[in-house]
Amino acid sequence: MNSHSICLAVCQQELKQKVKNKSVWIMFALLQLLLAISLATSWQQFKQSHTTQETSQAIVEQQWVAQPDRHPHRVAHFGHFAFREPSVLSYFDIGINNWVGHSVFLEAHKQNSANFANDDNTSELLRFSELSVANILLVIWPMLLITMAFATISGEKEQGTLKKILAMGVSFPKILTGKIFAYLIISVSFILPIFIATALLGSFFQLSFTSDTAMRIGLLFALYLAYCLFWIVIILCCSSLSASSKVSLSTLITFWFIGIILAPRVLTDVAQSMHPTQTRYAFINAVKTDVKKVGNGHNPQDPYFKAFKEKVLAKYNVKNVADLPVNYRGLVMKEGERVTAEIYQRHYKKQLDAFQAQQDFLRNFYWFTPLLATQHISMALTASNNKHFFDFEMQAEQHRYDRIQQLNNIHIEEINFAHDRDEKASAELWKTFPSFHYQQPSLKQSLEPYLSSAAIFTFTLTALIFGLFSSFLKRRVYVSA
Amino acid sequence: MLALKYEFKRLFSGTVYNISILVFLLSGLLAIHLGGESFNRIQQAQQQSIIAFDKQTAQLKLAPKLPEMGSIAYYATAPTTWQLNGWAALFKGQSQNNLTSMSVNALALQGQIYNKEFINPDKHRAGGFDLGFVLAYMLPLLIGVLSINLLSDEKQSGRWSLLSSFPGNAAQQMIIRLLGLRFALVSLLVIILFSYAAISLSLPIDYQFTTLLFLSILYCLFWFVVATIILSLNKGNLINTLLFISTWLVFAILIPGTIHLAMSEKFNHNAPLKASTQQRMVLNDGWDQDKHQALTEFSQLYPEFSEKLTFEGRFHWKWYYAMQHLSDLSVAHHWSAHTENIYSKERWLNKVSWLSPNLSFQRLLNKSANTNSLSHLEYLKQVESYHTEIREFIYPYLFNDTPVTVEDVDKFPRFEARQVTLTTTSMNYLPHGLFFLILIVLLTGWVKLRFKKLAVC
Repeated sequence: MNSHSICLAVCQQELKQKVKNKSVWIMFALLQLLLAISLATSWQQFKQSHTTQETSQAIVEQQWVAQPDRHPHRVAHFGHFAFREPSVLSYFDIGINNWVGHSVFLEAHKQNSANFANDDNTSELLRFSELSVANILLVIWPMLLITMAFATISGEKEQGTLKKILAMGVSFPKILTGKIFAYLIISVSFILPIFIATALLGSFFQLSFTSDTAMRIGLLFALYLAYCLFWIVIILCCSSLSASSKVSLSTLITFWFIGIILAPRVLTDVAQSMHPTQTRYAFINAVKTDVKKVGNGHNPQDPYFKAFKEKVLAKYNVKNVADLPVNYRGLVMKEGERVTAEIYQRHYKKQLDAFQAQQDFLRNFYWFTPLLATQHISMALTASNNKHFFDFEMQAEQHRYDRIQQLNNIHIEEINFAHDRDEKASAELWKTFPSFHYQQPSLKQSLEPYLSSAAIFTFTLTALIFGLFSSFLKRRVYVSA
Repeated sequence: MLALKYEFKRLFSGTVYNISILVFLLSGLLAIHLGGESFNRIQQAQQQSIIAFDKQTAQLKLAPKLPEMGSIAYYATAPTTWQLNGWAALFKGQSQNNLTSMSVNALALQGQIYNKEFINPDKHRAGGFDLGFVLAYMLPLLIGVLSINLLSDEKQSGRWSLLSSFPGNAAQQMIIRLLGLRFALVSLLVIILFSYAAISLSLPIDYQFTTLLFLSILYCLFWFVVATIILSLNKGNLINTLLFISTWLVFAILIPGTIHLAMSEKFNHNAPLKASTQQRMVLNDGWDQDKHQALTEFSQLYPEFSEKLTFEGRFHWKWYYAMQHLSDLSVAHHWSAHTENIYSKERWLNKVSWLSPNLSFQRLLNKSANTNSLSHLEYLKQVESYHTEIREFIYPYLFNDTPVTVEDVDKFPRFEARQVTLTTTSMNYLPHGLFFLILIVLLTGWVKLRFKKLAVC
């Protein structure tokens, strides 16, 4: 027999065995059913949330345009809303979407955070996160792989068949290769249907399905296949090295528990305690204090705004604010907004840096918990991680700033300083404001921060494969067979 | 005595056993430590918010001329605190993602009450780590590791068949003795964790402490019975392990996950969003509408001010705050829909959480620590009534145009932190305790029957 046919024979034999096993079929079918149910409900929720955000955005845009003649500063306090439509693939991996708000109220002088998350009160149910497609593939599927394959080598050792095969001159790496392919075929047949369903749902029912989305689905498939391969290699390693199937099983379950259940949550908690963020209260207070330090635009004696006034007077070469060709109050508003926004951004960035530090801390453990790396890349690909959420908050803040400054410009140019409060700007002007559309990041933007993570994951996987085919492991097997 | 010593030696000779016990114990200690840390942070933040407000008030009193009450109330964001006790460090529940110190001013409450804590959303995704997790989800696995293969190991070693040949049921008694030993060991571990928690968080050793400890041990007993059922099926090591881990997967992950899927289909959560978008329209239209009409409407709620509604000029604080309150009332139905939604979710969860012992135990722990969503809602209601207190404090100043004195500033109402006491009566634990007890009795009966069969064959 040549080497290819040996691999093929081993692979076929392994598959035949699994196909014959009734309990494997039952588990397989049950999990497929679970995947289907999960995809269907997630899809429904995705559609619903999509409609809610879209109609809400349309309503507020209409409310904005429908405003009568008004003083621009009134309009600035009337404000606007920014809604975040769920990311295109969030029905595959919901990520953090249930935990964060999807709408921001945009008003003058004040930056609000996104509010109204879906899952305010269900943390008890979500100790293991949602039963999303991604989570089933990440947490449950490895367990089924373990139950199918833990005895694949150790069992043959126990029955003595391994000794016979090796005695026939079949090389051990050939057996391993055959087995890897067998379990890869099983994995593909497990994950492929759900990926096809995901792609079909997306392409048939979604207008925003682009080549970008198709690429994302393709990469997701590759990612989850790599994740399966990771587990297959781990299982084969463990099964080869273990003295008995019993030891192999208990080792693998321990690894599954520590790597998937225990380590991620412990590490995330440790990360948070090492790089704590400010509480909402402290954050708001810090911004307020800093804004107060700069000055108060309403106080004529305030040093900052006194200097500002002199600068403006000098620029227009007049002695009194009343003589300015523009509205001085509008100028103060504009300057005040600029100062507050800057201070807010500075503090907000500090928070983001702390989150980033937590993330970087977790990255140190990617080699150890396959779940974390895969999960983070998966959330990046489905645009449902916290980076995408913060991106939404930043776009909303940028939109708020532009909108308010446009109103301040109207205040400066259209409103007469002398009887400021009695004047109104024409309702026609409200139609000139661009509406808010959340710009979904491109695939490149989504993935860029995770390239090093992907590299670590690939490196770990390669190292494991080398370990599996190493002469050390081979020797151990020959000795114990 | 000698036999016991021998069994102990055997118990601690397995590497897997030792590692599992160690991982469990370390996880528990770490959970208590991290929980204590985050609980301290919560308490510090609460204190700081009170100190900051005191400072603000002191500064205000120094002003040469005090501003009018309308302006004071506009800037006075007064602190409130969600009164949590040390148990919240162990069973975190809702205390992480919700505001534990929320500041409110006299403006419309609906614009303030939905705010949330700043937290890394990844933490939610990871599921969070606290003693509740260690007890409700890890403990069963430890019990599985320690006991699931007892029978098959004894069979392999030959002890079982040897003892079976004796008259009486010596073999069965040996298994029960081994299980009892492991139960004692696990109970001891739980007691160690509780004691460490009590010392490091200075929890009082009171009724709550003993009840929770007792319930945790009862929960252990339940999982021991589950393990015994599986081992009494007499199926061999591998099947036993797989059966036990599948049972755990179903109870710990699949059932709660399915309940969550069903719940997000069943309950919608749009009320807060509706409230806030609608309130904005009401507030803004108020500026364009007849101000005196708004005041008249307000005076129907507060007839004591009905003589003092008129004012001159374009603006008066009394109109401003009246309008804020009217806007709250205009969306009150959304707020009550929201709270009713939380109640009905809880009622529904109470009904279905029996499907998973892990889930119901976890819910019990959070309930006892006053960190579940009902306790949080209770806190929000405290905030709501405090907000009313502030409003009603300032109205007389606004409507009577009373100038504010330094003494008046001192009279500004302060939030009185009250422990939310939903669950400290014994009756509330009873159904859970009884449920587990009945289940345990039924299952033990079944196990006895199985053992009889085993002894026969």
